[in-house]
Amino acid sequence: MTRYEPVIGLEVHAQLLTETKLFCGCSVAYGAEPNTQLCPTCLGLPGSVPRLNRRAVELAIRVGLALGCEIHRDTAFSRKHYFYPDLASNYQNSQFEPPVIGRGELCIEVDGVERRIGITRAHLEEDAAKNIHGAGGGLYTVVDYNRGGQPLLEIVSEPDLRSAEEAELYLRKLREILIFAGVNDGNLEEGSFRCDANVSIRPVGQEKFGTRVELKNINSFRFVRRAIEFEIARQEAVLASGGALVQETRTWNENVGQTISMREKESAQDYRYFESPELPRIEIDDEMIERARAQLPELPDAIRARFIEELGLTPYDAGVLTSHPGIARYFDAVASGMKADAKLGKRIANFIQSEVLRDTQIAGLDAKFPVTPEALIELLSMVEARTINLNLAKQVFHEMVASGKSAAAIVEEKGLGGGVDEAALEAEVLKVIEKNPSQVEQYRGGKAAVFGFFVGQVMRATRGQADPQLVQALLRKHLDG
Amino acid sequence: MSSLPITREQILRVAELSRIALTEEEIEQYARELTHFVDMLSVLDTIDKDGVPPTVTLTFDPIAQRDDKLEPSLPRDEALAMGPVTSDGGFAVPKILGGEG
Repeated sequence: MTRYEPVIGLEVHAQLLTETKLFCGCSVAYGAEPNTQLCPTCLGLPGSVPRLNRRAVELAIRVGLALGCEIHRDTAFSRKHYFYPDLASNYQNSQFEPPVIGRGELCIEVDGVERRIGITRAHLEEDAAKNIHGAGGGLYTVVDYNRGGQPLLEIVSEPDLRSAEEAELYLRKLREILIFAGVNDGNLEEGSFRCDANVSIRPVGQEKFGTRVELKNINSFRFVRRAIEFEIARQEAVLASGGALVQETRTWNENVGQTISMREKESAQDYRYFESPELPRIEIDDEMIERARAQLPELPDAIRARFIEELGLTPYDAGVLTSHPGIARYFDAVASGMKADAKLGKRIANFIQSEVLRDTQIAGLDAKFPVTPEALIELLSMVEARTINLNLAKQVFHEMVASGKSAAAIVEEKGLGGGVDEAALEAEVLKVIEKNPSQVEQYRGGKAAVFGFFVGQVMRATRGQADPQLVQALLRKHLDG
Repeated sequence: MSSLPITREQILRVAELSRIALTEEEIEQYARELTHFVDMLSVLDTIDKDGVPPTVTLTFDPIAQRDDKLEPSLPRDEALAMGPVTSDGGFAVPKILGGEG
């Protein structure tokens, strides 16, 4: 039986984080009432003049730098012609050859092995309007042009991916880079990050690609994976039964768990690209590139490496603390505020992961933390100064979240901290040893478990305020000595 | 001075791409008219263009670029008034089966 190898390439449409559309000053805010964000330009009315949004070009250059891509200095917009109600002017302002961003690559890790996936190109284009099916009493399709004209960057990969898992990893990685670069909010549900997949299979060892199917409109990572897995199996089954594949567009239907044919690719499809006569060429000089480089934030791979090397995190911790740019900035703010080394860095990371993140709310690019980095620095500094121990710090933290008060105010109010210096603690330790002669005998007789009893007694006597490590050291000094 | 005539097949191809149905008379009319257009442009063939780069756009003015600043949009009623049929706050078009383009 023939064994097949999947060949997958991905096209991602990422909405660029501008305030306004690509060629006019209409808002791009999501969720507005239909058809309230439009003007003669984005409606394609005769006589309107498109004016290019500079910011979109800047963000595109930033993506090019983030992905290590070539940046073409002199490119243009071209009209891509097709007739569909989502396109007000019957052409889309897009880019043909050359696109603003050329070749680059993106590294993913598959089962611990690094794979380099080629980026073919990325080009600027305007988004199409949104068709609302089933509206108008089901008699019509209703078109909302709010989305029409929003700036998109279409990022096209080489057909380098070999499994649904690799496709998902590539998408997650790309999304993460775009989010950290500050160019896209990565919201698959709202459609600001959309993916189409080109899937074909070929006998293992064959160089020529098989017949390609385009999977459209897949709006979650889970669906991407399932749609591609389904499609690979479907294509294998067709070939195994002696059938032939047709080049077509299919969509993922989650309800039936299958890809469904939308239309067969018209072999005669012809977009009749030609360069826009009304838009200026995009000319990019060194200064624009250097400015974009200066604005490019630190990317997640570099942040993780720094967290691991300089701040003592495990790869797992580094992953958690870079799961959102806001979390990474928060940890960074606390760590740098406390001038953390590797040991302290790890302790801060532990506290953030076990306490802070439990009460953190993430919504898109926003992260809402229960306390500010400054408030957390104050609290953790008290732990470092041994004013309070870690268990008390956790209680104080919850009090801070509940009351909004500062750590210092809570510690003072409750009479915590500051009370147990080493001499006082040693006195407590001696007192506990004196009061419990039989346990001392047991311990010295080899019953090591009794040690915990002494720790508990001392902690109780100090109302939980003593530093447990110091308690243990003092107990060992007097019990073992 | 005459270039190649626009053929019936070319007219049908363009009509198909434009989703336009044409009658026999229209096919002949367009073939005739477009042939005439091409004839007019063929004057360019008589000029020596060696070393002249194609001029695609006359828009060199940086005013064609803008900062990312909000400008007022049209009131919805005004925008929708331009559509022949509207429904649910949108432009209504014949029902689309299948997906987006």
